[in-house]
Amino acid sequence: MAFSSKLYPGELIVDHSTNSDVTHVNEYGRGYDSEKSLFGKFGSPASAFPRELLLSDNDIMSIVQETEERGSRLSDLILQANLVSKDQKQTNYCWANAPAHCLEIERMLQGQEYVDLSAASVAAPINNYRNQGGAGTDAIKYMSDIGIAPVSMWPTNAIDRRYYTQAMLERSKLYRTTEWWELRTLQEKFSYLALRRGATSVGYPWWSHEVSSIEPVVLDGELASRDRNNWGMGYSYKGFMIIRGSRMNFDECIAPAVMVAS
Amino acid sequence: MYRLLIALLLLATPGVVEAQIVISGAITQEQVNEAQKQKESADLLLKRAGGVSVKLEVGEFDEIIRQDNIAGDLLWQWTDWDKRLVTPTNCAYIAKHDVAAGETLVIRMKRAGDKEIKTHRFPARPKPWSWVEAVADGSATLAVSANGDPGKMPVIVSNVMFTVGTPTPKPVDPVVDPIVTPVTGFRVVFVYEKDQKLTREQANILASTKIIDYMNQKTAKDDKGRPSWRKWDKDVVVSDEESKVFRDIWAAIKPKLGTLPQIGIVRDSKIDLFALPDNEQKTIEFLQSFGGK
Repeated sequence: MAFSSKLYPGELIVDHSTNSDVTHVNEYGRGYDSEKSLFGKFGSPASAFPRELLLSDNDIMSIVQETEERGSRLSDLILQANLVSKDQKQTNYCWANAPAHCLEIERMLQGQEYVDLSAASVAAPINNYRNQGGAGTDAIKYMSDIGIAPVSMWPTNAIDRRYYTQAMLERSKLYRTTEWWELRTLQEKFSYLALRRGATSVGYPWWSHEVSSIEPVVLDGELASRDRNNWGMGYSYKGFMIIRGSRMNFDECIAPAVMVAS
Repeated sequence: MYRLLIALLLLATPGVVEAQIVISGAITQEQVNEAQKQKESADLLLKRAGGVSVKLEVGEFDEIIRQDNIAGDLLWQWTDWDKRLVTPTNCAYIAKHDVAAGETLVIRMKRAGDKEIKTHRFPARPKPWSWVEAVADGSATLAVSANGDPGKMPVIVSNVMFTVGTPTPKPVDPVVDPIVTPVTGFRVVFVYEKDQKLTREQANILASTKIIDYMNQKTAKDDKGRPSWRKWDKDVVVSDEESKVFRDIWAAIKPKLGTLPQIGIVRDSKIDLFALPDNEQKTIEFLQSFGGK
């Protein structure tokens, strides 16, 4: 019998037939604006994904099965570390929350101390303190150039310029990403997730929403994506959800790969 | 050590065939053809070959025979712990002895799996064969090539992975300077390169929840009670906010990094760099050899 991934209890599946009860378009904040995406326009330190790292679907599926059996999926590592999902609440800052969570995951993988990172410390200055949409590529560039503040210095969803201080900027440098990938196809994304086992921040135009892609899964003989939403631990299973079929199509996908050790 | 061995050439006396290490050709001709097409070297093909694992205790022996379809001279290559010290003729942990075609042999030793020393009689064989004697705790791989030339594509290859006793891994050169400020405890640093294509086993090691569980339990705890392990890209920026001990470790390790990925093992102030073991289980055993079970 062909392998099929096990879902977490109550884990939601989003595909082309999913209704708005699952995607909650009217209840939660979203805010991904593909018009603002810098995807493909970065120079260094963003790296294009090397062709030699590409894996076939069969190889990816085989890794999915193996890591699931071993309990070494990225979601296993996240749950092992009790890393909580972001909650953007009613802000339109999904495009900063998803990359911020990817940075938290990367810090976890590096063995660094858990620090709750403030998406608003990135999104608010970029958008001139307006609760507006944006693109993860903008956020990741800011997280590389300036960094991101810990929630202890900038409350997580506070859109307030009082927090923009010299001390906050100094502190933010400790939470910079120094290198990241741009992943341009589903094959690149799945290859990255299967082999590198880091997280990627993905902008879905159909949803006007950006979330963190965590790992590939296999459902009905096809690859699908286990993502983590920014709508708190109460959404789906601890924020994890499955996106499949044409809903997986993205127009930006970025993977912070190295964090400052702090 | 004193060898418990009497090796005599005697008239053939039929012996009982016990466990044997069989060189059977772990790579198929199709794989060899594909490797030739891809211009892979014989050495690379050998590394990719599967093989058999053999566990011996010091003082034990076993025989190595070849399958009937393998003819001609065999090339034997030993590879020690760090995977780089290829020793074409000998190995520190295993002594290999060759027996010519037509010769008989009597060995009085403990054979792998035996409970006691016995006399083992081997009749003359039509093809040359070998036997191995475990002389010291350690781990090594014996790669066998059937065309006898390491620069050319092997016709048939096989690997025999030997483990003798409880090996203590040996660090790769060069020696890493100790931590400047003396500390106590067990710490671990994995070092990889972001752009490197890791093998699946290497990726499994770096993402292993079991290995993290082990390190969470066994490594020293910092002043916030957090375990002392890191997994860093070779170009990581280590800030002043990182703990002093890991800043010192990184300062000592970084100039000495070799072929990645590697593991830095820190016991008190002493630091050693090692190649990544072959898989998750071996990595746990490797870490246990320093941090205990």
